[in-house]
Amino acid sequence: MSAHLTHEELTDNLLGVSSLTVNAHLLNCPACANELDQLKGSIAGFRGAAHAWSESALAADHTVPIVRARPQRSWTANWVLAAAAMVLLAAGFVSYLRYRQAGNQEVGNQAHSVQVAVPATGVEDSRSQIEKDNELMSQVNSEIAEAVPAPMQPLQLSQSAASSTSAAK
Amino acid sequence: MIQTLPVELIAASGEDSISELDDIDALIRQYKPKVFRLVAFSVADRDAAESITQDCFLKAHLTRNQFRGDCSVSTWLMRIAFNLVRDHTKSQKFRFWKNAAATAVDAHDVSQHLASGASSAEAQLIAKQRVEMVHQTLQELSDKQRSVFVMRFVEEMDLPDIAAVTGMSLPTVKTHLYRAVGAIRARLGATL
Repeated sequence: MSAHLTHEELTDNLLGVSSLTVNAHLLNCPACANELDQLKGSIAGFRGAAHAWSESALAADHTVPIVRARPQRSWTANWVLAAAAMVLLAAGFVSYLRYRQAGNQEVGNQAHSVQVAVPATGVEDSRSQIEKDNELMSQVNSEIAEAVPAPMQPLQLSQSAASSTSAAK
Repeated sequence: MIQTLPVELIAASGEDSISELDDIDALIRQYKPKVFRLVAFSVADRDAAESITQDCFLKAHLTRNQFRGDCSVSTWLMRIAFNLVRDHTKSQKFRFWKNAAATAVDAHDVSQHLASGASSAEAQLIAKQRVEMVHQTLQELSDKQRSVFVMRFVEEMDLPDIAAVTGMSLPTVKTHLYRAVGAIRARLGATL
């Protein structure tokens, strides 16, 4: 009789892959047959316990059914929602266009008024200033042009009056 | 988060499968325990498992048009669940669940559901201890080994189906199973 079964031979038998050699060995080797039986029994016991445990665990499961938990909308509802979204979108777009147009007009008016007003006030200011300046300059020129300063004017007049009276005498 | 399903699971056929997917109530009734077990023993938390199981059926319902019946509905659902478990274990949320552990899947709780049968009280006690040992060993395995073990030995899925669900090659699936069984043998052998 050969040595005991290898681990691969024993596992293959456990997996249902049997061979004549292994089967013959198991018939003649109580140690290998006993170990294989215990292994099969332990795994089968675990399988049975696992099945029973899972049934019991699922029986106590209070989770919500997955598909029903998500409310399904009908096609009609979807179309209504889509139409409402489109209307809202269009209304928003139109109001945006109106707002933009109004904004452009206001900006245009403001720009126009600035263009007209600023130069107008500037021209007025400059003209009056020039007139004032010219007036002042002409006044200064006239004062400079006089031979006798203005405060002396009455004296000059009296002297000329005296000379005219003496000549008359 | 809607995952794209692998091409091999989205091939042509299956009017029956597609109509089966439309009836979400029947789908949940039929497959919820199977999906729940895979998820529960993979993430080791009952509340997280319930949440992920719901996500699995919601995703299946939302992406049912992608299913073309190349595999069974069961395999398709297990594939979605496996991907969700993988995403969950990578996330921060998994660490929270693991740390909280208030609703952890308890080995003792599971073993209490072992059918009593006609065996003696002593034999029943030994059987419960072995179930607890298998469960404890399961928690020490890697995520992939654990999921593959549950698919093969709890859900009794064929190896090609497991390969289709996990996206692994057949030899890789067998390697994970060898290691998982090896760990259980070591645990059982140490106590026998």
